[in-house]
Amino acid sequence: MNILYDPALDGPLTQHDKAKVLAHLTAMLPSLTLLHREEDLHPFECDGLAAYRVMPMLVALPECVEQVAALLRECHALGVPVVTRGAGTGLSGGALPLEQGVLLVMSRMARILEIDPDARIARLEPGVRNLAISEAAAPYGLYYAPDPSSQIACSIGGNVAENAGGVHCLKYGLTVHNLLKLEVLTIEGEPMTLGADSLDAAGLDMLALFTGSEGMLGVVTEVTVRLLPKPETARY
Amino acid sequence: MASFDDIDKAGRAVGDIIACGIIPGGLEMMDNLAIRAAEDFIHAGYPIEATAILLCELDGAEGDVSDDCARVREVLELAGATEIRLARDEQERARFWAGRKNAFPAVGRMSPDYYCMDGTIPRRELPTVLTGIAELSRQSGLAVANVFHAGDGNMHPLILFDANRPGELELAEDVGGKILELCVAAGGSITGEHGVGREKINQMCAQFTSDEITVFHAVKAAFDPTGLLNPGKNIPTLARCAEFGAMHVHHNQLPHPELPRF
Amino acid sequence: MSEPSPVSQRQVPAHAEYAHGNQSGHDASEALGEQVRAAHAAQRPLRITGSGSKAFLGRTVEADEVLDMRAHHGITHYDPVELMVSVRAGTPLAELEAVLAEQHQHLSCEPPHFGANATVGGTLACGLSGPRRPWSGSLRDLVLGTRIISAEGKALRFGGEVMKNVAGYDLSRLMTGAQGTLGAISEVSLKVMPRPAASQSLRLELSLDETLTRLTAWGRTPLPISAASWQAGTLSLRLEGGMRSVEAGVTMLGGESLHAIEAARYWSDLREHQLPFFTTHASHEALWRLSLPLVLNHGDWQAAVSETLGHIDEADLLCDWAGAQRWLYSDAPAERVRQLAHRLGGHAVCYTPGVVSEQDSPLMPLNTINARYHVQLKQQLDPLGILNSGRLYAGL
Repeated sequence: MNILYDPALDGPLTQHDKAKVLAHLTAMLPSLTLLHREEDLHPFECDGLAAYRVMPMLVALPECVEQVAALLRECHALGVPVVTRGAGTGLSGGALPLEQGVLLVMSRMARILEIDPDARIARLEPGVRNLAISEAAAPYGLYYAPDPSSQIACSIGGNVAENAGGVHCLKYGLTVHNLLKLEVLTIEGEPMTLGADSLDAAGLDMLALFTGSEGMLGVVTEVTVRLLPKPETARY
Repeated sequence: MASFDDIDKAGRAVGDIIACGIIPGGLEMMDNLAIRAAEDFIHAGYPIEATAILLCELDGAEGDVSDDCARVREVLELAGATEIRLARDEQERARFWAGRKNAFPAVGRMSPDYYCMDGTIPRRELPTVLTGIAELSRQSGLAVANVFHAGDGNMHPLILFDANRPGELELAEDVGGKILELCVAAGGSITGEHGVGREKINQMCAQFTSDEITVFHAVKAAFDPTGLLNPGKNIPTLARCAEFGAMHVHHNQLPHPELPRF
Repeated sequence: MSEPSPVSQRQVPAHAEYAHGNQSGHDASEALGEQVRAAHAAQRPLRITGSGSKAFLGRTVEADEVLDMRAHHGITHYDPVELMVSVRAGTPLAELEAVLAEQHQHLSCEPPHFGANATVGGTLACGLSGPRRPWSGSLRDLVLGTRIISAEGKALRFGGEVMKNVAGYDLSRLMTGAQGTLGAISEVSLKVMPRPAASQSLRLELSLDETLTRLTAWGRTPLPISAASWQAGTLSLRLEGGMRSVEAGVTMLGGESLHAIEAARYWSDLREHQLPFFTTHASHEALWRLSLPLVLNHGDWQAAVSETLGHIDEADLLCDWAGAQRWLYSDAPAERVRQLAHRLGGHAVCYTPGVVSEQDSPLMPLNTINARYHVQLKQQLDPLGILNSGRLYAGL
């Protein structure tokens, strides 16, 4: 069984001239880091499902939300597909690149924007590692509950995209149960806030819809998670 | 940590703990192959002769946890555990846990390659599904180690294979696909936490009807009508399902001739 | 406080399918599907209804024909050991809760009924949660899967009966709180939890400022708080969990202990809007629900109130969810109350019918981009506007 993209079964993909796309993006986004040489692209050709590898056309490494929005707008205008990737630890090939697509790697947006111990929330850029959240919250006696086994490396943005779990789900739930708010960008580069700082938001539960949507509906640019007080004790 | 000489008893013990009104922070099960692999790698002190072990983590307030520990011990004894060990100190506790957390790399040492599955099932179906997995393992000649988030029904069967042997990767994927179909048939899901991505794109057709898949595409179109975000992942096209999926196909008839062939 | 003995609890029949299952209910899904298919073919809009207990909670649906879900009722599958129940939309919520209680289990979010005959489907469609919400999660958090009837009258299933399931988009949780605008929920699978072994409620005389300060500090500790409301100088607290942690909490917090029956009554009356605060208010004032950030500086609250509403009488305010859900009686224009919620980073919902104009919605308006994607989603799933159209917002 070959699971690589098959235009006959997965739909046609427009062919793009890599040089032209690169020239256009470089001109429009001079400050954005774009990788295009084969040797630079190699590290990104697979995620945690390493049996399958595809060389992306280009790799973009944005450092701020404005760059992500501009990149999405340009790709949308050019009709170039975008595959978003966090730390690349996913086991189902969700971040497998496309030869005709840009791989949008969020790992450089990895700042912990805020830990509010009183509200028990953390506001994070998508590239923040799962374990880093609990480490940053530890001085306040708090932690972030979902703990996928790749938690040393995996990023919160990827956790949201996959609705990641872990070994404590029965009691503490999946990622979706521990989120408060997402900032996302649509493919057109439009910003939307899903969820809120309050426990619910007006309208449909788009926060739940986007969680686990595997990068198909938008790009997560900021995540607000709930933190829990550390249990007094844990025994086996 | 409790040892069992019968995987069915271990599965029942999980239900008994929950029937007591106790929700453990973590509740993990490993079968014999996974136990031996982990013990060989981490020296966690696991009983290598056990058919299955349960690792039960209770967390919360000190007093409550003491009460619950006593009750869980009682339940495990009644459920027929052959041995029950409470971690004596923090070091032993960390070792017990390290064995489980390193179960994947531990299995990886036993075999050149392994393929990790992520199906979920209602816990009561565990014996049936494990029997099915053992049968698939026997038929294919590929060993399968089982690591299981027993509390929430999330199975991680690890299929051992050697990608250098021609055809083994395909065989492992085939066994994996069949395991996921067993999970769906048992009322479960093809993925509990790893996602569909590209890997399980064909199995989506077993879990959802074409009407449901059509609705997924409609949701996608509401946000990304031109389909530029991560094309080909998560939701299969109906054409793909007709080709690979579990849609009912009659012999010698082209499945779903009305669907576009890209 | 009573601790259920381990022996009596272990008699729960392991892996038993609950006998209450198919026999006692009625499967009307085929007839309901047929009704929707006929309405779809004739492009005739439908208004979905259960008992009507929460009919006040949205806009009026312009439809002559009613899709009454009550005929489709009964618990189809309850497995206490799997912590899972599947139940048809028309089942009375009270019936479901009674069945769960027999097994020492419950819906941990304790959803409000707002009427004796409230159905499970209506409860899901409205997506409301009770006093335990900040500590035990929302009703949406309990949803494992739903069966829906689509706008075309197709029977669809999303999610399932297992705790973890990330295949496909999470439409079952999206349907929760969507008030039937994306599909009619016909059946739902919910995670159920054991009732806490011990529960004790307390009262402390405190100002709102002091209440919020203390709740913030307690929130960072493992104190087993499961409800916290404040009204007219009194903080009501509920501690739930293991026997020992509850006892330790009671000792630490002090205050007046409530008798178990009195406590149960209070939290139920709070949830159901049956406290005197709700039942004795002057009819000319509208009841607003303010959903606000988890921690709000009391000074910020006061400043925002004075800028938007001017003065409010303390007797017009009741805080639940440790301050994150505030009930306010006010005769101020809707716009002012919404400004207040918006300024504080939350949103407002009007619970009194007829206060906002017909074109408006009791819900807070969405910003332009959000609104556009809401409409696009509705248009994709229900392009003809068959199901509860206009219930949430005009056109949605």
